Amino acid sequence: MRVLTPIKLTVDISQLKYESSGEPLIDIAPRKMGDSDKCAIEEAVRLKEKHNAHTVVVTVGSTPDHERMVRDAYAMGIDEGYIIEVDGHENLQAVNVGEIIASMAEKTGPYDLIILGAGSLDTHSYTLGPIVASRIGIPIIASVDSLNYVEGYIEAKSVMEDGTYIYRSKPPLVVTVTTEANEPRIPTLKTILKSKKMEVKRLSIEQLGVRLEKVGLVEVKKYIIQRKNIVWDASEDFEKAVDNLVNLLVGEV
Amino acid sequence: MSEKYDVVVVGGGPAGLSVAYFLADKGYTVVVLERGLEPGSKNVFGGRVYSYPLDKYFPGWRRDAPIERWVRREMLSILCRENMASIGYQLSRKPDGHDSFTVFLSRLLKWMASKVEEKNVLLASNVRVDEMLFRDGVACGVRAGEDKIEAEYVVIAEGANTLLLEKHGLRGRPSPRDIAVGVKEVVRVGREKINERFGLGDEEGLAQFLISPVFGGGFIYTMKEYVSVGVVYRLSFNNHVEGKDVIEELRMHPEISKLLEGGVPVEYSAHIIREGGYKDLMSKPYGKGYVVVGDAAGLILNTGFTVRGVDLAIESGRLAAEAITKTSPGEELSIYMDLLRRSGIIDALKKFKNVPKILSNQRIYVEYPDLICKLLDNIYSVDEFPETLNESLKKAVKGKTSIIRLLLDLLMTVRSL
Repeated sequence: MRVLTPIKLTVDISQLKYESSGEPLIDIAPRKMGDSDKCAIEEAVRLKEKHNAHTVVVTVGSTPDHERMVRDAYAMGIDEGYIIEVDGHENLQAVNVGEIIASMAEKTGPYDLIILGAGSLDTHSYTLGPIVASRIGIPIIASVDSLNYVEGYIEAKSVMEDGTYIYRSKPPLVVTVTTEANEPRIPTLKTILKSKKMEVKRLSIEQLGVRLEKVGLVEVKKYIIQRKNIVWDASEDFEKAVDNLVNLLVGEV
Repeated sequence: MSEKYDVVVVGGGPAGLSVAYFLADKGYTVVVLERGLEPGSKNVFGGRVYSYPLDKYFPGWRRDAPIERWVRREMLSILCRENMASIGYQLSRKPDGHDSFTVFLSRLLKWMASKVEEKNVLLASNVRVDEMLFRDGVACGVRAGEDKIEAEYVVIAEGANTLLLEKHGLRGRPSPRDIAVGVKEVVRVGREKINERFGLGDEEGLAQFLISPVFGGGFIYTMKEYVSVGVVYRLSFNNHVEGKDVIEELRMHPEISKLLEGGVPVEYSAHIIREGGYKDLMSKPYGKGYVVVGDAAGLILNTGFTVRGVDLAIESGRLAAEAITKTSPGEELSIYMDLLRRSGIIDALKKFKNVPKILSNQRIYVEYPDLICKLLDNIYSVDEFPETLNESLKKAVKGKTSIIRLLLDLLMTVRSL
C-alpha cells in the first residue's frame, strides 16, 4: 500500500498580531505545520506500522520552513518527501494547490490512499481534499475521526452534527482527518537525527506540467464584532437601569 | 545500540553553535541538541551584539548576517516619575571592529546555525537532554528520553538555567540574590518613525540603558522597524512584582510611551539572567570528557553600564573547541580554563567583581535616581527665587539619605566600575 500525505505550511494563527487598523501582520507571523496535517501524518505512519505502507509527504512551497516541515514528517516516521517549487506559494488558492497535488500524485504514484488534514489552520476552507479527489477521480471520505484498513477496505468514522457515519471504501481514495483522529507522536532523538540525513526531493510545477488557474485573494481583514455601546447611568436609579437592561435583552430574543 | 559522535553539544545558543562551528572546521563529527523549535528559540536578550568575535571568526559576516542597525547612539537615562534624565554619547566612527550592532538574536543564531550546518554539523531541535552519561567518571554522552548518544566529548551549553549541571551536582542552585529576570517587548513602530523619534539615520541604532526607581534596570534598542524595550529586575528586591506589570510600568512612562506611540507589540518574552558575576563563575568549568561554555559556566560580564553575554559565549565556545582538539579523550579538559585565563575573559570578570554588589544596593536604583530627579527638578524649575546647586542638593537629600552615606556609596561605585 502506498500512502500520500499532503501537508501545508500555515500561518500560526495563535501568534498572529494585528495593526491597530485591524490589518493582520502576516509577514511577521511564525509559520508551522497545521494541526490536522500532523494527525494525517500520524494516520499514515500507523498504516506503515500495521500494514507495511510506504508513506510519502508532499508540500507546496520551497522555503527553509517547508524543508523543516518535511524533516519533521520524517522524524515522525514518513519514508519519502517532496517539495514542490513554486513562486508565491502563500498566494495560491486551494484550487491551485489541489491541481498541483493531483498532478504530483499522478507523477509519483499511483497511491492507494491520500490522507489530508481536513481543514488548514489558517484558511479552514475544508476544500483541498474534495478538490484533489475530484481532480483525480476517486472517492473521498471527509472529516473522519478514526480510520482503519480492514480486509482490503478503508473503514472510516466521521462524527457529524446529526449523527455518526461509518463509511467503507476500496482504495484508491482520499480521506481527510480531523484533529480528533489521534494524538500525533512526538519524535525522539534518534528519529530526529535520522530525519536530518534523509533526502528531500524537489519537483517544479513545470516538471509536473501544471498550469495555474488565475484565482486570487482580494483582502484579509480581522473580524471585528460591532458593539452597541449602550450605557445607562445606574448611580441615580439602579432599578430603572436594570429594567432598561432586561427590556433590551428581551427585545434581542 | 546508540549512535556515536566525536562531540555532542547540549544547547544551540551562541556558545553551543560556536563550539560546533570550530570543531566541525577541524573535522570532528559534531551533533548539537537544541531544546527549542530551532536554534535561538529559547534565547532572550536585549538587542545588542559586539562585533569583535564575529570579525575574528566569521569573515564576511558584515555582508550576510541579519544586522538591524549599527549602534551610533549610546544613552544612559534615569526615569523619574514623569521626567527623564539622560546622558548621551554619539558615535560617528565607521565600522572598525570595536563597534556593536542591534540584532534579533534568534535571527543571528539562525544565520550561525546555517553556517554550522554547512560544515556538516548535525543539528537536532526539539530535543530535551535529560542527563549526561558517564563511564568510569568520564563523560561519554547524553540521554534524551529513551535514546542515548555516545560521544568522546560532551559540551554543556545549556544557558543560564543550568538544570543539567545541577542534576549532576556540578553546579549549585543559584540563590535568588544572583538572579534577575529580563522581560522584553518588541514593538513594531516603523522605520521612519524610529528615525524621527530617536534622531537616527537609516542604518543607525540606539542603545539606551535605563535606571528606574520603580523597577530597577531597563533597556531600549532600536531595530530597523521595531523597538525592543525591556526591564531587568532583581528577584531579591521588589519580590512582589510580576514581569508583565513591570514592563507595563515602563511602557506607560510618559517619556517612553511617546517613543512607542502607535506601535504594535509583536513579541513578548522573558528569561532569567545570572547576575552573580565573578562569584557565579564556575571554578572548574570542565572535567573528564566535558566542558561548560557560555552562560551555563557563568560567563556574563555586567560592567554596570553594559551587559555582555553573547560575545563571551562565542569566545568561550571557540576556546572550548581548542581545548578539545588539544586533549585526548578521557582526560581532564583543564586546558580550557588556561585558555579562558589567557584570553583575558576571567580577568575581566574579576575586574568587575564588585559590580553585582553595587547593583544589588537598593539605594543605587531607588534612592539616588529619585534624588537626581529631585535635584534636576529643583534646578530646572525656575521661579522668582533661584536656588544655588548646594541648596537644591540639600533640599533633594532631605529626609532621604545623609550626604555622608551618599558620598560613601559614590566612592564605592566609582571604585568598582
